[in-house]
Amino acid sequence: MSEIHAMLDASNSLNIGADSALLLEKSVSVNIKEKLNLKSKLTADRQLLKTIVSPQRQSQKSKIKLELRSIVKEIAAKVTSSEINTEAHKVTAVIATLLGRSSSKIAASSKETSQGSSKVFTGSFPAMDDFSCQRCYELLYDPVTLPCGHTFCQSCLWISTMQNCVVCSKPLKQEELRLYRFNIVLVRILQKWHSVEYKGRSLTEKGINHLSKQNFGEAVKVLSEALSCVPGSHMALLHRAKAYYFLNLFDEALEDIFKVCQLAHAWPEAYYVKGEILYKLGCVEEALIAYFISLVLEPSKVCSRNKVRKILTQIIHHTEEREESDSKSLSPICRSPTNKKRSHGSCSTSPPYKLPCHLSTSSKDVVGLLGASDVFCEGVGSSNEVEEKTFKYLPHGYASELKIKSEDTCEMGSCLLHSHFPVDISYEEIRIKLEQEPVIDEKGQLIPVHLTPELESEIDRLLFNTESAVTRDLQTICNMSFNREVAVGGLLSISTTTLQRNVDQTLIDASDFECSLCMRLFYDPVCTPCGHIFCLLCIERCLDHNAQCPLCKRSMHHYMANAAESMEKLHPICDYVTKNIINQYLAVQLKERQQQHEEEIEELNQAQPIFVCTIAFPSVPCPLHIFEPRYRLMLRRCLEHNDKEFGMCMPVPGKPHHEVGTMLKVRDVTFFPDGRSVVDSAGFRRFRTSDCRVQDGYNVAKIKFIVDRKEADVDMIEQQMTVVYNDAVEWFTKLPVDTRTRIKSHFGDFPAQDNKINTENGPDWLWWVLAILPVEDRVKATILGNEDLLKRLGIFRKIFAILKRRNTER
Amino acid sequence: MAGLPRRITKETQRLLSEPVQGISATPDENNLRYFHVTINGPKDSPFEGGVFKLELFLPEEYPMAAPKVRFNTKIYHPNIDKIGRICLDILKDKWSPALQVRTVLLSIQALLSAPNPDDPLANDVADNWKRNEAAAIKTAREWTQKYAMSGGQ
Ligand SMILES: [Zn+2]
Ligand SMILES: [Zn+2]
Ligand SMILES: [Zn+2]
Ligand SMILES: [Zn+2]
Repeated sequence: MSEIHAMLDASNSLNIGADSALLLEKSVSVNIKEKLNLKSKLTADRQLLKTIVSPQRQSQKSKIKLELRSIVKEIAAKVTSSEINTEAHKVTAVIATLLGRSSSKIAASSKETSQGSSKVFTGSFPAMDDFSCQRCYELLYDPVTLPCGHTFCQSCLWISTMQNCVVCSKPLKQEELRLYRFNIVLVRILQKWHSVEYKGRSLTEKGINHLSKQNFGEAVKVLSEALSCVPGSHMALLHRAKAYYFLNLFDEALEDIFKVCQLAHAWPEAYYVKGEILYKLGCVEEALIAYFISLVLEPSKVCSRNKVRKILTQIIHHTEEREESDSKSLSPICRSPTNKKRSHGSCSTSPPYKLPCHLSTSSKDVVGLLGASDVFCEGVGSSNEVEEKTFKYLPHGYASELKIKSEDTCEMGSCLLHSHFPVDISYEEIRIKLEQEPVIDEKGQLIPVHLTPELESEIDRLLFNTESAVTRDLQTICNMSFNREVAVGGLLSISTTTLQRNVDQTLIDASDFECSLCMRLFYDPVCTPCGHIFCLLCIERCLDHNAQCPLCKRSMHHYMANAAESMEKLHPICDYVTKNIINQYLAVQLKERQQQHEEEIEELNQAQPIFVCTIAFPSVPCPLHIFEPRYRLMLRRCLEHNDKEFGMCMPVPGKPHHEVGTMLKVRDVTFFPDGRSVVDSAGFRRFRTSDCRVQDGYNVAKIKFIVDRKEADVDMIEQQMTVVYNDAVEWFTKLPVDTRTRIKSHFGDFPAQDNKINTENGPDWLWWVLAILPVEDRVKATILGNEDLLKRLGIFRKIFAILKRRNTER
Repeated sequence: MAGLPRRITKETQRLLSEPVQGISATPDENNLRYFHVTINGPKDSPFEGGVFKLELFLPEEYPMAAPKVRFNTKIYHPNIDKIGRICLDILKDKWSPALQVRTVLLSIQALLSAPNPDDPLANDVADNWKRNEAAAIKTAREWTQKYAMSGGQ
């Protein structure tokens, strides 16, 4: 029964919202302190809490209580049958009920959130700025930028088992994670702009390290130093709480953990640690609340689940024992309203989930605080009685009553040491784990499950037909819980105020953000695995020439291969943190830089890039293999800024290239990990070049398109075309089969006779035939540059006459 | 001819505004990719007291390709040949676009302080240097006096 109150407390606080959750925390904290014989101002807090609970909420309370009671029952049932949360939708249902919403609604709203609808609540989203790690929500420490462009503390990447980037959910290659070095620019900026906090972070990491080596005293010392630098560091506080815990300084541990829960009031890890401390103190109910909140916030948190299971098992087991021995001592509060109806005051048909009444002491206080005066408190009697009972069961009493075994604490200890970050385990794994650890009572027997049909139907009704208002905060937390990518981060909500770290303006210096390649402000900064930053276009151009970092010479083959995998966008992804910092703190310089960038792009468009390689023809395919660094650059620029077009001219000795060429349009590109590419293109317009020059290593020129003259005598030309077409077909069909196959595979099928006259290029088939003719490229280029269709047809007739003669001569 | 890349402009500005001790580099009036360079012989080297003239050219592909540098003053050095070509890895396969004119000139200055006869360009000089270092250093000093001092050619 006490859990019912406990859960009720939790739910009330959750339903009231974040602020009152904090207050509830405080009140519980006060409660604990009282138990620890610390004087408190309990009544003041009661008053405070009462004012927060609105009348509206009060009216909903009994309903919520009903729901919660059944959840606890369900959990108790599931727990004892070691089936808790084996299916994700059950967890959904439980959380839904806890929050007083129907599960379908929650599913729907979580969908809305992911689709970025206007209903997205940002109220209790973690407060961060660009300097925060999106995993631990502290200031970035030893920042490492991943290829997806997101940055985390190195320790966050190393210690945790992050499978996907928590921001973009791109899968992480575990074997590569340790190869990434610190983002050197960011380290410098963090040390310069946030020197004190950075020092605090460094001390925190040191402290955590001491903790993991079980140097608890040293850990406390170093973490206290860290906290003197950054008083609000939830990481430092959490770990100091752990260290105190192991030093058996529970008073101090509690104080720290309460602070953590205020700073990060939806951090499952914090509630878990809180549960451990409270459990150790024998405050089993409060521990259960804490474990339960932790579990609700992170349904896959195995250690919390095991704890909830263990405590509920102990309680139920204990109840059953007590029920047998002393059923009369069970006070009426054990009865739920529904059961009350059924059993009507008689204990003989009491439900299977009786819990020892004396466990409800502390929560009764909280229930009292919340002004609950209905059924739940009926059996309690006068408030004097409550007070009496409260002090009757001090921590030691709890511990002995529940027969807390020493191995519990051992297990708890190891879990505390290793659960620095939430472990992301699939439900399947949890299920297996739970199956391996069946719930066994002290006599070594499996505890039987009691779940009556009526109870089941009641649970169903409550789970799926309930609906009540939820605060924004809770909905967000709830939505986030369903979003695994976010939830895996573990820390769901820290505070409702937005964070904006102050930066001393005198420390901002654009030269800290200078690209070593172009010696200007970073534009689209990209961070390499070795931690160096360059402008996107600068590093790309370097990689065309050499697959290593220009600054440290580290191989970039791997990086390029990774980039090629996600090559939809052609480019590696920029370092968002650095980009955002520049955006925010160097806006003026960035604007200037952007202007330069745009001018440069504009300049590129002044002339057409010319690929000097072969002769191409209008409408004829031209497959290309691009491997030379200069043409890699040219291709990227054409794809981005030139409508996927470039000119193709054949080389001519002593000149940059032939003056006549064909524009090619890229139809498809396949990039290889080493930067090479295969381009599928086709010609479409003829041109003549002037002002040839070299730009960034490749040729560019001004071009003038070649357009056929207008022809007056259309009939005559059509006649001529038919003659040439037939000649061509005749010649082609006489070619050896393998030659024809080769031609077809390269240039496509022999085209149909289109009689395009008075168009820019005349009939397409004529260019196809020219492409395959066994004629010198020099001659082909002359025909390509000819603007007179009739003359071209004449040349073709002559060529075919020669070819015919050759054939008969043979 | 497109305008001078901004990087070259910036490097030139910095070379002029923050000159390196013992090195001067001035762009040619007619070609801003061409630099007139002087390097003072480093202290405690056989080249001490000499002022060596060099020419440096930034090719079209710069900074993707290394600058081209040549000594115009005759010098007796195992890594510099008769016509002034320099054997320095960063000017060849070890070139990186993150290096600059400034770093190249500093490297050449360092090369004068620490000749490396094991990676020679001028084989005869390197042989002498290895066989009889004292004699080689003496010759280097004489050449410095003869060609690199008081406007000597
Ligand atoms: Zn972090
Ligand atoms: Zn990411
Ligand atoms: Zn750059
Ligand atoms: Zn590097």
